[in-house]
Amino acid sequence: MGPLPSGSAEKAARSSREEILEKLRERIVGFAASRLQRDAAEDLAQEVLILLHQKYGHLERLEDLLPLSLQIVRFKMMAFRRKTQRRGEYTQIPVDGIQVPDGAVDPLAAAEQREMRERLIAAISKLGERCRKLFALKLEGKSYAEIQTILGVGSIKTVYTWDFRCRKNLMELMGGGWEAGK
Amino acid sequence: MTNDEIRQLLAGYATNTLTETERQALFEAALDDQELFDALHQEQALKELLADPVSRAQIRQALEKPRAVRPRWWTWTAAASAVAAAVLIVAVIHSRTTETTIVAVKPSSPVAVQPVEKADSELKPVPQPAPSRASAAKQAVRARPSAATNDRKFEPPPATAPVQLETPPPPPPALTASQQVQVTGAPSQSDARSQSQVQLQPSPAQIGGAVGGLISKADLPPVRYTLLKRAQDGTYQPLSPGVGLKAGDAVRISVLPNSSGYLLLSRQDAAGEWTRVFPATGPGIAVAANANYEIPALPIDVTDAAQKLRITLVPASMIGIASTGQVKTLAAPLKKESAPTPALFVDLTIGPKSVP
Repeated sequence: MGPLPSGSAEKAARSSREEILEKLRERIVGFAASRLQRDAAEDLAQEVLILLHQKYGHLERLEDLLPLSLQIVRFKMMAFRRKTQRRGEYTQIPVDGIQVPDGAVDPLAAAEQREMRERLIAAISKLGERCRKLFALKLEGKSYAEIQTILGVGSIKTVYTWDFRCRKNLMELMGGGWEAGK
Repeated sequence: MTNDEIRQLLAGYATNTLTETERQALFEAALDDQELFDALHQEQALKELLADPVSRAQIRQALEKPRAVRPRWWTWTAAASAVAAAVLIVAVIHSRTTETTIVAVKPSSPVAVQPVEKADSELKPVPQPAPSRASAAKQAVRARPSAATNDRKFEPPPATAPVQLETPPPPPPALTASQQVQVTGAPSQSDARSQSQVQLQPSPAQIGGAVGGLISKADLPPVRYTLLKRAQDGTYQPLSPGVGLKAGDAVRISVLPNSSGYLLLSRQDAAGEWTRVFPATGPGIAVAANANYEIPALPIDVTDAAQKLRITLVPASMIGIASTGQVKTLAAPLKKESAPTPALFVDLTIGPKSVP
């Protein structure tokens, strides 16, 4: 099989990207629909895709697109909650009481992150020794293969299993989720 | 990689632990798996937290601290309770450490029983009666704790005075014939003197503990006693092996009642009537269970004629008086004992017989 003409390669890449985006849209709608209304979930997915298309049109690989879409979805959902609050869908706020963004770090996000950090630190102190060691190695930037060597484990699959269980244990210690009440 | 293994890679997403291949596998699986996609989104919050250098440093610092160990108070409480229970059980068992209890066979007619032939006959039973006397066979009784010592060592039985073990005239309902004469190896309060011992029987309490002891309580002898002979220095010692009594000796009796009540000593006169010897008045001396008492206050002089004595224990429960340890006296002295009382008694005969 000979090499594809340049036009064909570009076409194939574009087709692959569209395929990834289509699947991403499906997943995003599914995820958002579990937390928002169906119409809002579809709107949110559409906004994410528009952003990916307009601002990140140069990204084609799944390894880039999926984490990015997750981050955008997260921000969009937080913004959506704030927006519904401002609109008075849940609470009536006078116009004078609406704060004008000053361009600094979102205080709500900062507070949430601070709270999550404190909860995480408290939960870590209750973790078992193996999980603490594993987590520390991960934060040092070690890969699973390196962790396997350091811990002297026979199979990397054992490290996967240990880490998965530790994550589950840590989440349980934090109340079932990383973020409080979510 | 299997699907399960790919799902396990989820734990490495937030910490950027995954290699390119692992990330590729995880993301491709997430595209087709809504649940995995949702979980990845959940990890995004942790990923952002760990992406913050300050937060990451604080978490790493927390990981370097020693693990917070919960004080397992319940573990220590349980252990302490177990130890306390064990100590209590040992204490109860120890307090019930038994002495040798000897039950002699009562012959149908008064026959002098020589408690022990020789010193080397320890642990040997008293010569058993003929099979025809089996109805009066010995009865194992629960051993009682010693007030002076818990030493269970079985000492060679000393020779005793010719103590005749007899059946009292009308046996009270609470006491069977086989219970009427019982000689024990209970040491006295003053020292661990050797005792007249006929047979060693493990008691039900030894075997069955407290329950066995309760069950067998009804079978206990009312009192156990040891003859004490006055020595040259005026002290009273148990009769030494091979030494009998002779006229002019003075003896007292060390008595170990098995229940609280009132203790008294009587002597049978020539007319066959029982006359109070000690105490002269009152219902008797108040005694507590399982404590040694030496009676009477003044020794009994051994005469040429045999003296029949009766040790009577009136349990406090039978007369409705709690054991207080006080000696109560009645206005009028009781010279004679008349009607049979619900008391329990043991008869013995003291005479100048030498021990063979």
